[in-house]
Amino acid sequence: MRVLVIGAGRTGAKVLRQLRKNPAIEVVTADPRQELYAVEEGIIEKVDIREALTPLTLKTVFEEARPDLVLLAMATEDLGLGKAPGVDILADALRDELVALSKVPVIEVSRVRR
Amino acid sequence: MPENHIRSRDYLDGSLGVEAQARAEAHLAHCPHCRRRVERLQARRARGSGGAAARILGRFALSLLRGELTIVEPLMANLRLKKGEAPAAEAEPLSPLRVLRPRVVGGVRNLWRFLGRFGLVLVLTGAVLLLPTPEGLSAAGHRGLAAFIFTAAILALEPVSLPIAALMVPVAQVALGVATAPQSFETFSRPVVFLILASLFLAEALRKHGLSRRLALATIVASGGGIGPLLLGIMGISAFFSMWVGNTATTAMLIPVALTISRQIPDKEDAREMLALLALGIAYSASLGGMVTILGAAANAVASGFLAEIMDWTFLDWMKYGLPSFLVVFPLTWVLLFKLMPVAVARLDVEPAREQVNGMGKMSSVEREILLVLTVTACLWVGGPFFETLLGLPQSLFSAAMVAVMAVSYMAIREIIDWEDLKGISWGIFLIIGAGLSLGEALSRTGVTDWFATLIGPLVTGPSLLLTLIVLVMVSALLTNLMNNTTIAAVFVPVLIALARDNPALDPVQLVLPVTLATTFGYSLPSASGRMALMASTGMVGRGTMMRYGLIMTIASSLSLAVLFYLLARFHLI
Repeated sequence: MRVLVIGAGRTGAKVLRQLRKNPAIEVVTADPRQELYAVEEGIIEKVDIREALTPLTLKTVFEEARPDLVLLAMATEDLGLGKAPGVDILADALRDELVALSKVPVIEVSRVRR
Repeated sequence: MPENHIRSRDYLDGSLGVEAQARAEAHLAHCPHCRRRVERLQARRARGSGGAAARILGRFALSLLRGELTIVEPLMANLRLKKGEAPAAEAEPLSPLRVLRPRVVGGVRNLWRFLGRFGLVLVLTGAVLLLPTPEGLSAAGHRGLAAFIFTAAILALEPVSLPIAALMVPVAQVALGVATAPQSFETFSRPVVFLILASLFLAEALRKHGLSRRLALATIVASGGGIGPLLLGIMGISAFFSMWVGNTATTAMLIPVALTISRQIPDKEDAREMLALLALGIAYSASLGGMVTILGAAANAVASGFLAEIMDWTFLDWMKYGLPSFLVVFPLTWVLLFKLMPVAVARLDVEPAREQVNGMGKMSSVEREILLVLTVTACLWVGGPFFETLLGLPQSLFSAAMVAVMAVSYMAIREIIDWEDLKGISWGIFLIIGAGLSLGEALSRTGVTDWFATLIGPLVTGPSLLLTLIVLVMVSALLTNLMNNTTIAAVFVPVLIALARDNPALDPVQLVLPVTLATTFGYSLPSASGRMALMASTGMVGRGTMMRYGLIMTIASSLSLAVLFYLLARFHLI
């Protein structure tokens, strides 16, 4: 099974550590940021796709990753949206939109309680 | 995607990282624009300290007014449509965006700047106190004027976040001797404050159960795919929601839907244009929808609070003027936006949206129940007093705030929302409205509003009503780009009420409503409202675009609003 993990920050690192327990799971990671906790910690060497998952990039990322399952492991503050009011609601709505648009199962593992 | 020029000051200061410095040098090799800027800065520094003091002072003053420079990694940098483009992380950071919000205090320099901003608030307040008491103003009024300056300065300069700045307002009033503690806090418990809070709770129910998305997608399907109807549809939904729930929350909920629509366009630039058009449409209409009801905006709540003090003022009374204003300005905004921001695509396929709607299945019982509750609530908001009389119920049982609290209670009992959901709402609005009302009360109590009214009376009552309305509305609309809407309402409304009281030819509603409604038209800067800050921080709309179209919209909307209220007054409909 191919699992696409979105986010290689602290939350993504936790997810990746767990997924490593089962070598049969093929993991693909995506994160647009340059400094990544999961890389710094040596959990992964590098991210496979330097891209953020949004409704606009969904098709491209999925074509590249061909996942059977997607895990959203990127906290709101890591989305690079700044601190404007309503950003939390926007981030939640973006995740909901991705979940609805995706043809493969998408599971959120980092939804921050507002 | 705008070209990512280097920041010449950082480059010359050597404050960029090693990699960023190398990238900047590579960029300079082929960018004459940046080379010129670097050379100019180098030359300026080489000229030495001539006029340095003035420059430093000027820069300091500008930084106080400008607020935090938030370096935002715009969403658009991550929203690439095609494979093979440069990764976002490798792109140069875009220019900083101007977002008025408190800066994080870290390090001596930042601490000094923080104190500088708060210090300026204190200096301005102290300066007013030290001035001789203006003619016609009592000693208490003089201190009230200082309280006004403190409030206006602290809410405009925001040395701390807005809700905390609002909390300081009662403290300042008591310290200046213009109110006792019970007087200064009394306004925080006004019904209108709870009405706004409850509307935020209702918004949370909409968000939590995805009703806004379903309705937005259904509207897109109904539009048939033509860009004009599609824009109208999404603007209509945005306006409709923001009549009843928070404007910024509405915008945030609908932006992803705009992204979904734009993703159908294969060409990157065309998609970007479409996204900017839809995003601005959503933001503008979220603001405009807020004109219709008392709970549409905090400024409306503050103005209603003051009007309720001098006359019988209900939810329906506000709608009588708010709805016609919306019906005039909303279509105008749609037409202007559609004409000013043409997109390359003439029609979009609505099939994907239809698939999404079908994929969501039938409306769940919870969604239906929420819609029912909102409908009943809206009916009671409008016709509450009528039903009270008809059913012989205790007075004010169906007042707007009570109805809103009952709706929230019902939803909680039915477990549609729970306390955990409500923890995340913008509770700060409660403090901001309370502070706005508290300031207005203090100004009235100390005679400052009467004094202001005497001062500006000849200017307002001298020229024709149309000219007066145009000037007042324009000032309010342009000021709202820089100042908090609630503060504008808190300061202007008591003065306008005093003006109307002294002039039998004027009705308070004639002046208060257009000035308050005009605070909706802050479209030009990120600091104008939460919606515009969101547009800026996501990078969907550039600052130039925001400023250009925002100004046009502000002027056109202000003029039409002023003319509408002039006609209403002329035909004795106010």
